[in-house]
Amino acid sequence: MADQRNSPSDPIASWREWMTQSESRLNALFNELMSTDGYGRLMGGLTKVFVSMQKSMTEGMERYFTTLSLPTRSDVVDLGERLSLIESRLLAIESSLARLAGTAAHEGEIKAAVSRPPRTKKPAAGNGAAS
Amino acid sequence: MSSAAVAAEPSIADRVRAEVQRTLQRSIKGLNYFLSDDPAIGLTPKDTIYQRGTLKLNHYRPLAKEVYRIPVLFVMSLVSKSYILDLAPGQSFIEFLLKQGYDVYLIDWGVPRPEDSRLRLDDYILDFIPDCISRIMTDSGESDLSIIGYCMGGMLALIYAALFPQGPLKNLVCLTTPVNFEGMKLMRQWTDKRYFDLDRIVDTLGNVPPELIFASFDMLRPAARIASQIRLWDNMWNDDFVKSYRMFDRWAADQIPFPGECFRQTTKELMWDNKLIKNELVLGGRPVDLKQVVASFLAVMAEHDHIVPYESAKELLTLIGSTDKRDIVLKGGHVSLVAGPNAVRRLWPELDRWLSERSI
Repeated sequence: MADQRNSPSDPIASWREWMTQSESRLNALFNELMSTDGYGRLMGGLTKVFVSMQKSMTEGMERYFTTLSLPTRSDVVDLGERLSLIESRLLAIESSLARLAGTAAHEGEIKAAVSRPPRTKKPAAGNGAAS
Repeated sequence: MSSAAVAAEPSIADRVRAEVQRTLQRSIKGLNYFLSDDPAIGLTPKDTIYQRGTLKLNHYRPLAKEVYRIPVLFVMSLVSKSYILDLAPGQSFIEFLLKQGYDVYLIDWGVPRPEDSRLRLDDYILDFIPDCISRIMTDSGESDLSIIGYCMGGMLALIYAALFPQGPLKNLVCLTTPVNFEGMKLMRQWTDKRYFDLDRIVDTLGNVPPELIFASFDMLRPAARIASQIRLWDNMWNDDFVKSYRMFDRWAADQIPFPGECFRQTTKELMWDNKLIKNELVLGGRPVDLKQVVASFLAVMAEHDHIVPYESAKELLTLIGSTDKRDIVLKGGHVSLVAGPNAVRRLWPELDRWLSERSI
């Protein structure tokens, strides 16, 4: 950006330059820290704790909802799965019907004839990038 | 410094005046920033020609009077939304290609549902992509196709190309595509098999939550978030900067869950065992040999890519069997390679030059 060009007599531009350099330095420093074995172990441990908490919370909620005779998350997921199965079967039936009726091809022909431009374009001269 | 340059430089009084004006504008526009909605994105007109579960195959309406014979298919990463390729008009990669005369299709994977946690690379590469391609062949009436894959989408397209060398793929463009996972040092460290309990994560969570994906990308450059907030404040007076910032920030935070089994497979077979580069990956009982890739091939890498570092993508060209192949390293980062002012100047015209000659 023209406004941000550096100039020794411009304190704002110098500040921007300093910020960019500090960002790079900090990123490099953190990256070095995060690539150690200890950091990997710490992250692994934290992830394990998070996942265990998530698991016990999910199980607790499932029990709670079951006691209240309410659908649990797994019930809703099961339902979703069955719905997507129905959806995909409907799509399969739809495309088989369209194939049988020959409408898909017909529609394609109409679309191509009416609204699609011809596939005749050639690259502009001087584009030569072949290697 | 020459006397002309000294004369052209604004005086201290002018600078102070400009800075005071900007400070005022920052305050006024800063308020607007919090009160206004995000800019509209993904506006290029399109039709969904096929839908299957959360997958949508979109065909973009042509914007040129005549188009190249060979249609182009975009394959997106599984963990990012596809609108990064179609930001605002004038900043949309897809709109640019349409205006250059390409017939463009895109596979939008959508947001995986809980039941999609069982999807594996096999499903994407042996089923979904070939299914979409056969629909494009019917829709376009053509027998050849070009694919542009971005990030993990490039990897999916590359493996597809290795498993289906007989066609219809004619041209393959891989943008920031990882192939050597030893080059992704930080990611490998974080998923170190001694400490990272992969099975427990997938078995418990199903799909890997987007917050985890977002946090891991963010941690690759921990200072970037604060620095970008300061830059936003500094440029709050500049409407173009703010609009662009909001679009990119929205996309970066808008990650999607990673289908669980696919995450398990990617981590075990690619991140840990690095099977792709060793030609040891097997999908659906079929070995993936990258030497089988014979399509005309262009690999584009970004010099400052922190998500797919240069080291993880640089060997791509030497691994494939294509005779017509080229790679380019462009200035920029993982995202600025495909979208934003850098992309408009660098990648887009470069890609058009390469692809146009091979699209007739």
